[in-house]
Amino acid sequence: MVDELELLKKQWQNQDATLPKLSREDIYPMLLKKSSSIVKLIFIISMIEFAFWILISTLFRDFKFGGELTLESASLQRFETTFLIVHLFILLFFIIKFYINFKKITSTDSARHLMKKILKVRKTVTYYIYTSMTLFVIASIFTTTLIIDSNPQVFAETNKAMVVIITALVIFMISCAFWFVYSKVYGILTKRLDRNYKDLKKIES
Amino acid sequence: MDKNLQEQFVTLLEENQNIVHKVCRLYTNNRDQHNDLFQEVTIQLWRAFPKFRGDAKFSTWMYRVALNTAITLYRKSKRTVQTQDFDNVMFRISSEEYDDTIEQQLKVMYTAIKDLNDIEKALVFLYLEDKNYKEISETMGITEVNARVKMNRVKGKLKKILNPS
Repeated sequence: MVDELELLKKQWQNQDATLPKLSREDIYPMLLKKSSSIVKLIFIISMIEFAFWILISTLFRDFKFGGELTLESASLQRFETTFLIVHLFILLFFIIKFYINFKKITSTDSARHLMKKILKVRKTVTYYIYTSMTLFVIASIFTTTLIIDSNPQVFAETNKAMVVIITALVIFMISCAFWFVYSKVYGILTKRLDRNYKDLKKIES
Repeated sequence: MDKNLQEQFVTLLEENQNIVHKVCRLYTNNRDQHNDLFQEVTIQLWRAFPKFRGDAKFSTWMYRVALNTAITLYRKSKRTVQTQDFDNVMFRISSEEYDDTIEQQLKVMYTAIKDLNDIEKALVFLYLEDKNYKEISETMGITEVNARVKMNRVKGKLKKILNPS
C-alpha cells in the first residue's frame, strides 16, 4: 500500500508536462479580475444585514398605526429616541467588531486559523442579529404598553396584558421566520467551511 | 500597485504556476472549475503579495495561499458539470518506469484520493509534493504529531478504499 503511494508520489512529481502552461500575457488580465471568494460574499451579505436592521429601526420609529390612537405622547417619543440611540450604539459596536475581525482575515494564515477567523466574522453578525431581534421584541412590549397608557379610552374594554403579549408574540414569530430564512441561507453558504473546520478540529482533538 | 511589483509577481507566478495547477487538478473536476479556481488563487496571491517578505520561498508561500483558496475561499461555480477529464489526461502519459498494470493501479489510487475529504486531500497533496511534517503542520494549522497521525490514518483509509476485502 505504502509502496503504491510512493509510486504515486513519483508519478505525481512527473506530471509537469501534462499541466497547462500559462504565459505572462495570460496572467496579467487575471490580476485585474474581481474576487468571488466566500469572504467577499459574507462581507456583502453582512453589510445588507446591517442596512436591513437600520432600515427596520428607522421604520419602527416612523411607523404610525393611524386610526384614533394618540401616538405623540411625550413618554412614547422619549422611548423611541432612547431605542434609536441604543440601537445605533449596538450597531456601531458590532460594525467596529466586524471590521476588526474582517481585517484579520488573510489567505497567508494556516488553514485552521483562516477558517476560524472567517467563522468569527460570521459570528459577529449572528450576534448582532440576535441582539437586534431581542431588542425589537422588548421594544414592541414597551411601545404597546405606552400606546395603551396614552389611549385609556380606546383600550378601556380590552385586556391590556393580552394585547401586549399578542404584540410581543407576533414580533417574536416574525423574528423567528426571519431567523429561519437567515440560518438556511447561511447553512448553505458556509456548509463546506463549517465541515472543513470541524474536520480540522477533529484532527487536533 | 507599482509596476515593478506586478512584474515581479507575474514572473514568480509564471515560474511556479505548476503548484496552482496541481491544487486545481485535485480540487476540481473539469476545465471550467480548474480555470475558475486558478483565477481565484491568482487574485488571492496578488492581494497578499505586497506582504510577502521573501524570507520564505515563494513556492512555500504559494502552497499555503493556493490550498487556503481551494479549501476555504473558493466557491464552486454552478455552471460546471463533474467529469474526470483531468484524471484521464494525467494518466495518459506513461512513464517508462511503470508498466500498464502499475499505471492502472495508480489511476485507481488517484481516483481514491479525489474521494477523500478536503482536509485529507490537502494532507495527501502536501505529502505527494514531498513536504515534511513540519511544513504540513504549519500549512494546515495542526501539530506535527497530529499531522503524522492523521496522515497514517489517511493512508489506512486509502488502503480500505483500494482493497475493500
